[in-house]
Amino acid sequence: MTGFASAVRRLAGVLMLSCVAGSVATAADDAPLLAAIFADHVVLQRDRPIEVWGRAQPGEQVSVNMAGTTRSARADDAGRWAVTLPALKAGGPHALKARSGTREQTVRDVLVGDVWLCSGQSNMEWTVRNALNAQWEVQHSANETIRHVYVPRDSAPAPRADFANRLEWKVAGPSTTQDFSAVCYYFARELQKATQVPQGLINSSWGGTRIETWLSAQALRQLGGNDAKLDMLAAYAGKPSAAAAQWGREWQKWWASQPATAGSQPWTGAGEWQRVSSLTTWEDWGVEEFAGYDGMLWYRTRVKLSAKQAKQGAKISLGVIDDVDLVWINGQPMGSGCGEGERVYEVPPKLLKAGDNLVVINDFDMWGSGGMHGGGQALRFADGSSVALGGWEYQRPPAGLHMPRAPWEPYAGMNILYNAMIAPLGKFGLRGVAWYQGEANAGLNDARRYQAQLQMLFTDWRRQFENPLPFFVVQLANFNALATGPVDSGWAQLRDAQRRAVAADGNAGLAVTIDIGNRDDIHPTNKLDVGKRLARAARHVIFGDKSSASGAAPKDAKRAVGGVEVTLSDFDGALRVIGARDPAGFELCGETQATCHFVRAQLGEGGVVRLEDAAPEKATRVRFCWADAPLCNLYDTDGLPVGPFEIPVQ
Amino acid sequence: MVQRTASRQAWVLCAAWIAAAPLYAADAPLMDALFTDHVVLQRDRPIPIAGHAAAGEEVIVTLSGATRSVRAGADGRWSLTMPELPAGGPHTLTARTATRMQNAHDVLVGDVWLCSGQSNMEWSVRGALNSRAEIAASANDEIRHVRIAHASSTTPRDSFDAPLEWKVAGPDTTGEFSAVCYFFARDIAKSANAPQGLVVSAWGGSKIQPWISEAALETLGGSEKSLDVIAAYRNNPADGIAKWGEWWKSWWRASKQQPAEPWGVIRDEASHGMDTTAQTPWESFPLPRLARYDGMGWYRAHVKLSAAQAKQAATLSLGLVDEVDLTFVNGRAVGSSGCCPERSYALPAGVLKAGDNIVAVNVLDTYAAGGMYGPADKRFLQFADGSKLPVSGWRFADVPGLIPPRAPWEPTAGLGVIYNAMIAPLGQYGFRGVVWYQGESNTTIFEGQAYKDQLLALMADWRKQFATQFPFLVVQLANYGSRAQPLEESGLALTREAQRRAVLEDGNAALAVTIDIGNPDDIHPTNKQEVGRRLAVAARKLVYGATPLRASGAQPISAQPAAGGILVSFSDDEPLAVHGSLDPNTFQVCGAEQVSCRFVRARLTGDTAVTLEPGDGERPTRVRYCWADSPACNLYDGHGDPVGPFEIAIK
Repeated sequence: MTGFASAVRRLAGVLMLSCVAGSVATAADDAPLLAAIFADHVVLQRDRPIEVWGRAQPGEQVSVNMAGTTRSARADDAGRWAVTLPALKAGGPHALKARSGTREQTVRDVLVGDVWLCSGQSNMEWTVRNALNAQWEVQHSANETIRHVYVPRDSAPAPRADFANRLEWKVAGPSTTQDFSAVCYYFARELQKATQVPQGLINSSWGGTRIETWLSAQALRQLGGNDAKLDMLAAYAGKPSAAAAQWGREWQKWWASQPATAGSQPWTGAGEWQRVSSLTTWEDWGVEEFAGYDGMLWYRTRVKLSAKQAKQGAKISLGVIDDVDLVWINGQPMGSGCGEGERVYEVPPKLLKAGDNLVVINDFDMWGSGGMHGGGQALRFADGSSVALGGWEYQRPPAGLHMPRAPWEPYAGMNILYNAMIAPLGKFGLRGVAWYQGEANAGLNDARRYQAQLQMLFTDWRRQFENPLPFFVVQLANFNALATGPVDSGWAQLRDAQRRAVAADGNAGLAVTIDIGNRDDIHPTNKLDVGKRLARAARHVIFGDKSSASGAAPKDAKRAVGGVEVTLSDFDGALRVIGARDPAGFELCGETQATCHFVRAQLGEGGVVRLEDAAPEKATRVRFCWADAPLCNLYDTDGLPVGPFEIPVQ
Repeated sequence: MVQRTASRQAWVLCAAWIAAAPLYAADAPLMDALFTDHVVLQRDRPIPIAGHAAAGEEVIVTLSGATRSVRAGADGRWSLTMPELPAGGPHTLTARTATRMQNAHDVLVGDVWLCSGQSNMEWSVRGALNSRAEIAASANDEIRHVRIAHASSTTPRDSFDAPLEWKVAGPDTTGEFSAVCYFFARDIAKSANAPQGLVVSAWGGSKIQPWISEAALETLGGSEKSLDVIAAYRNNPADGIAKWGEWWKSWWRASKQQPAEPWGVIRDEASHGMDTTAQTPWESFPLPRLARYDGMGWYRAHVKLSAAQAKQAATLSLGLVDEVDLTFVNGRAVGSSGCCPERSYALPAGVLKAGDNIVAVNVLDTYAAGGMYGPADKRFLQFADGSKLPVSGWRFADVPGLIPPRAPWEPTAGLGVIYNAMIAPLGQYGFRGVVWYQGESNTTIFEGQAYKDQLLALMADWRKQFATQFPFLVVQLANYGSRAQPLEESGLALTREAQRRAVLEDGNAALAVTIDIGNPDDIHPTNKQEVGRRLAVAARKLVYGATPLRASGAQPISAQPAAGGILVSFSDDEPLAVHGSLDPNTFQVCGAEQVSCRFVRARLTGDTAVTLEPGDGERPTRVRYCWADSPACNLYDGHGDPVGPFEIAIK
């Protein structure tokens, strides 16, 4: 699986897996009254009523005080309460106090300013520590009025009312800023120069995750096509083993449908197996082919049980499995999990039998070390006895498989990150959202769906926060190999989907980064310019700054004598070609990819680019800068690149 | 000089001190530092072995069944040559005298490479792309690596101070290998069928001059004054410093800066500069223009001395200076050091006087935090009688836009000083060739113009030392820096062109073009795998003689007036291709002056030819391609490698 595995390796970024956890914090007597986001050093959104909420005893009266105003509310039957404090101007520090009959909580050093939710995958998660000039930037970052809160990676099969753990707001400074999201931090730091108000940054992001994981179940149902997975996830929230069994049957169908694997059924123990020398990560086996292996591997073992054991309730412990697993007992799928944690699955009744039993595991490792390791593999019975599982063997499947992904997987599942990392923010006051995601959706088929998904995410989050939030979207940077001819690129499709979603929204801005990525590295380290371009978009969209939001945008393309005339608008100053005489990277296309061809382009006045073509009547589309890592050279006077686009020829 | 990743002056490490030649104790190793366990020796040629013994002692060396002996000289130095061996091993190398014996175990015979240059050669596998998987999968008994510690000296040394340790590639070791050198060797090992030994002698931020011997610099010309200064310094450092100070002052006067003599009495001193406690870098001073200031600044203070104090021998301590200082007392230069130890200079007799004394410290900072800073109690005069007098009341003035000359004993910017301590001690160790990745610190326009001759001089110099005509594989500098000033002269482009021309002129060298795999924002691009692969492609042609591969990629052969414009012809065996566009871009034509350069339209006309439309303007005499700090060029050869930057005359 070299090709796929290395793609995944690049996509997955810095990973620490955790799987959907079902438990939700309950309001113990000594639990905080206020929701987790209300912690010392919190920044609250200025100039709008301030929502404050939390948990108390059912029916208890709670009063909240800040900046001289008190509001109170009675907790409902579930203990939930909420009040709305009047709007405040930028400033502080204030103290936020909540009091019930039995408890009191004070949040200190509260500032009022602009609050940003920063979300997405690894490039949003990427810390200042790992960005360019880290040491200098961190050393000089002391700023009492920029604050950042990291929402720990977590997933849940159903929306949570609050975060599983306390959150910690950190004030920017030499000992803290290195762990801030670099894009979010540079964005806010830049904006603060214009607004001079405190900045609150909520960093809720997770490397390698697809957009589906960040949408609510409602939004995914509205989008359509996700019902089966959503139903399965709902089932998983109730009874994981039944959902896993159902998932396993789907998975088997997929396996049978692949040319490379059709006819083989490793879950029945079939095929060629080799002995596992030790239950360590497979990188440590000392076997060359696994030294840097990321991908899929089968494990199997057999275990003899007595009739008495087989009859009992049992759990199977498998130690640590890195990263995603599906488990069969006697040919029946019965467990599925993910993350680097210990696996313990309830064995459904009647699955075990007296005599020989077969345990088969499919393990998929996305990144770094992989395999089942850590020891403790055993069947544990209701009567307290157990039987160790040893004598493991492995089988390596053919390369190039693109496995279907379980709906509870953090990267590729449904709504599980929304449930655990966005829903608990409730109606927390925000000024806007910065979104940097899409690398994990940049396959050709996925990318075609992305515009609708991104627009749905705008709608979904605005609905949750009851706030017409502006969204600032980082368009994906250049990444991957160069191409000689015109190509159908999923990355280009995804960038265009981002551009179109932003253009269609009317309350969003795009930060083009096609010129500041790194062809060899999906994590470009120049986050400062990303932040600056996002801030520019925000200044335009929110604060009415006259500079363009994102640089030049395509207006139209019209047929002309001997070619096509493309008009660009919304740029600052004039357009110019950098480092060459003429603009590079223009294509004309008919209906099919095969008809796309590069054309000679000449920059005219007023944003007009003339494309030379012998048969302009055949052209229905213009593409610009259309490849995974295109080489484009058209900029405006402010130094913003003209981003990639495809538009129809009129 | 806080470390940052993006800076042209990428100083990876600070100064090493000039140390006295080591003395050999009776229990010191018999053989030189490279001859230790896991060493790789060059195959198919006589193998020189050297070391130190007692004066006149007989030394017997055995290797793979052969025995040779020699008597040590009066200085204890001995060397001999063992018969050549084919690739293979492991062997044991033994040296013994009547009283001592030393073994090097697990000796392999294969190809040995000297990998040298600045930070991009030092850059470890750990800091390269995909390092975790690369390191995990790196176990290979036949790739071995040894790193020479930073050291500098004003006299050539015949051995290293510290013991060296050869490391065998594997998950516990490869992380610290030079990434370029390792990826190169890993690629070469696939076809060379021989063990690979990597000797890495590199120093971040170093210019080329410290890597060339004084003798070669003398032949090269242009450094006479600095060579005089370093000769004086060698005899007596105080004389060298004084001489350097006078030379430096004449440089300052020629620059026409005000005040005319900032090291001495300044009229109207109160209006010049600002007060400072000198406790923090100048970036934190309340002047916006200093917030990210790199460059030169003066720190001045006055000290009142009694006649009794002035008469005594004294030492001036300044604490930390970031990065380079030249310190004057009463107008006389008393010390200059490179980055960044705490400075303490013994003052020559007669420098101090009763009454007012002026301490003036010129500081050069090339990146990040700069200046003289730290606790005030680090700055004082200490007299022979043990008494101390604080030096305080500092005033600071910046001198934007002026870069001072560097003292010739400074490790990374001096003359021959790294050569003396990091190349000369290699003696005549057998190498298959040299991989050279340097030049980032020689990219002003003036330096770019001088670089070709310097690189040719370095090649000749090292071949002379090692007494072998080994090949050089040169990494051409990658794209880095501004994308936006295409029609200004680019020092980086000049240095790249100097590298290309030096390689072509030399005839036993090859170029690895990296113009498309750098990072405009980071002088340390992390894709070292591709650099290594391209070096290996070059080596297979140049060193191993595999015919289908070209050594330095497609090269321009000629530019001639032709129908429809100017025809540029390339050497290649497969058709050229344009990436991501219809036509090749970034072609320029120029007349005599820079201002006449202009971008022109270019078309592929034939498999290996490009025709340029010369456009309007002065009659062109030169063609330039891909000529900028960070150009985005789109012409590739038939093997998928980029056509590199070049300038050729139209004939």
